Amino acid sequence: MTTAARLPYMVVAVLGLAASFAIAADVLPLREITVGLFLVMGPGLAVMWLGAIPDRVARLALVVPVSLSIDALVVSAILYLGIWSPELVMVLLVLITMGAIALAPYERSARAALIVVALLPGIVLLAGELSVVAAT
Amino acid sequence: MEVPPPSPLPIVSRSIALGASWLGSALERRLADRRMWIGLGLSTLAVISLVGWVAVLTSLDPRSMNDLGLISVIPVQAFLSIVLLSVSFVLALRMQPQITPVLMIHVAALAVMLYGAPAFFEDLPRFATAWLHLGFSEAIARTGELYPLRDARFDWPAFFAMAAFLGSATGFELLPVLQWFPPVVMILYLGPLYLIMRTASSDGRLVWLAVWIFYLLNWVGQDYFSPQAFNVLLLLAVLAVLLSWFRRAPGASVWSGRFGPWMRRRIPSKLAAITVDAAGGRKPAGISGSLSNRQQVGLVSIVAVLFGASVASHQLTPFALLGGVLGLTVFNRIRLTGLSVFMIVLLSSWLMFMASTFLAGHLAGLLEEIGRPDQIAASNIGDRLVGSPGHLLVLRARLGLTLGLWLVAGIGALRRLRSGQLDLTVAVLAVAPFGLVLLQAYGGEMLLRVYLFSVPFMAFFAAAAFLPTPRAGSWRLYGFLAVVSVVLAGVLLLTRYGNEKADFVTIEEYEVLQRVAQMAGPRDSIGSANHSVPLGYMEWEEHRIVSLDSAFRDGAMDLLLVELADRTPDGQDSYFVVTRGQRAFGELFWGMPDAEWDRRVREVAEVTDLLYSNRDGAVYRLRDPQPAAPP
Repeated sequence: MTTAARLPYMVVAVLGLAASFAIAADVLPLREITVGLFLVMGPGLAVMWLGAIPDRVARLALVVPVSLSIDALVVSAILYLGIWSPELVMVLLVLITMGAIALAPYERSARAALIVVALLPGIVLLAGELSVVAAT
Repeated sequence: MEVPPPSPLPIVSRSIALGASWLGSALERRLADRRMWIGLGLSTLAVISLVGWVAVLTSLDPRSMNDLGLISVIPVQAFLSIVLLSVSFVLALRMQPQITPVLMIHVAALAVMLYGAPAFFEDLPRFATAWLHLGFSEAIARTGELYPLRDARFDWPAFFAMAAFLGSATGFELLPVLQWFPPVVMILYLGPLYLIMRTASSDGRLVWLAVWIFYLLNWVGQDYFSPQAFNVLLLLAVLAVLLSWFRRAPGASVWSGRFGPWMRRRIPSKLAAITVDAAGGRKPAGISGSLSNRQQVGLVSIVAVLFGASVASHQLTPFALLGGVLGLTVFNRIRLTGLSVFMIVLLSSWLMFMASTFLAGHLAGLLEEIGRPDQIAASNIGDRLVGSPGHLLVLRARLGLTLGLWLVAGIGALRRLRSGQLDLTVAVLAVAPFGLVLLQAYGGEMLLRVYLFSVPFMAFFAAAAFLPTPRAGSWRLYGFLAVVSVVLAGVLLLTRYGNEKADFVTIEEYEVLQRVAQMAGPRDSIGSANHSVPLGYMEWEEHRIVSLDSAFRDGAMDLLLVELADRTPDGQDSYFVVTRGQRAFGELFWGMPDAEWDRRVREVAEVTDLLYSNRDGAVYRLRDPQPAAPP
């Protein structure tokens, strides 16, 4: 896999990483941009990579509706479970995104590093969130 | 062995070939450069027209609007921007081949100009229902609860929950987002719409003209901050996937599908001669041959996710989508024949298990309306053609534009048929939404929704009325297209923003809302003369919002006060709010003169205490709170 081909994956993974840190540390300007961009692009791109969706134009056209649909379904499921935690939803979306990249049909060694980097804050956030839920 | 000397002939011929090749590539580069410069020039014109439009609109005063709405305050010089954009667009359209980014810039500029127009000069987001939807989202964000017993829309909460989540997770203030939501969502439609259009024809001019016409004709105003705006995006995305990757090969027979033999037995043989779809469509670039298993599973999963989000977020759009998919399946246009079964199962499961609160209260009424087109037509057309003379003109313009589009689309379909193109796929999707009319009146809004769901496909046929075949076309035709674009933009501004006088919200009105939200305690009632006031925005879950439209309209002021008191829990206070937007609504939709409005407000004031007022509204409180319930 060339560096150019790896670039989109790196962008999404770094975005996921930045979004996780931004939401954890509540750094507002960074949070608005990174979390916003991640939520409208990350899950959709990852799922389309996972499905090896052909045609760049089509991916570009579908990335926002697919991302928003995944966001909407995850947040609704959590809400119906009686939990309202944007942080938990964020963690789940990071996990879905990185999981989809991990299973995408591309070079293993390249994505493994990305996944580890991007999953760490997600796992930290998830652990923190679960402890809060358990406490309440 | 002696090696013969090399013949000069191959060297000469190779040199000539090399020279010709160099000349060819130089010419090609030159041509490419020229096209690039033309494209850059046209894009600059599009940006200039947008800047000119914004410069004129920012100085407008919304208070000077009359009953015709936004169009009444837009000066003639603003239309120069639309003229410039239209001319530039048709020039870009005439280029062969078209430069996609240049055309995209033009369409995006048009979307911002037409759908973002109020945001350039109104202080606050427009349209009370958009504020109410934001109120729902903020209620979820504050409490983490759903309220299906208070409002049926909470049985389809995914859009509100998503907005609540996006606001909480990003830290964005959502109120300003409302103002720019329409142009942004309209631009988001562009991607899936383009994918759909390019499967319908390989003629780039027809594809882009259809997209352009879609943006000139979407007058129904359903692109505000709402589940339906989000759902139109999902509907287009699902159809884009199905038509791009699961369409039957061009030329596939209608009668070879699962329902083919059954249908063939039931229709006249002459009609059965029409068996194939247009062969003009193409697969998206980059796709060759069949899809791998991974790709098929991936695409089907994407359709499932998109449809799932639609089912969880809107009560009507999934039915429109199901109708379209059923039509495509019956006419053998797509390969996923089991998809409609999946959709039916998902839809009915949601209705039975997740929307049971709504069904329990409304099932009888819903069933009663099925197959009553007379009642549905009355509530969708007859009952809506009322109001002030200016408003009646707007309503007639809407009716005229709708019927005009359908007529031109019909002509387009016939012209395509005469040129040997039966666009069966597009025709099925254009006609399928009309089935919804037989099912429900949808509060008198079903025809609007039918228009909304069919307009992308009607726009294709309307474009085909001008460009039925891939021939270049004369300059006169392109000049005519530019004129039509300018006229349609004007008509769109009239029809789409015809209620703007009642829809815009001033800072003073916002202050009235803030005051009443501060004064009213939890469980207090807040009544209003009609629903054209963004009362639901502030702490929606805390208060009981009561719209007293019919009592106020009919002048039954005693009844109004009794109704407000009845809706107030024991021991709680009742407030009453009147605003400028409500007065404008009364004038537009009820034809109520100012003097009559003032008389009714005075009647309310006589039995209430005035707590706050400014030039755009007032807050009153009923003098006698409801007696407290016995312990």
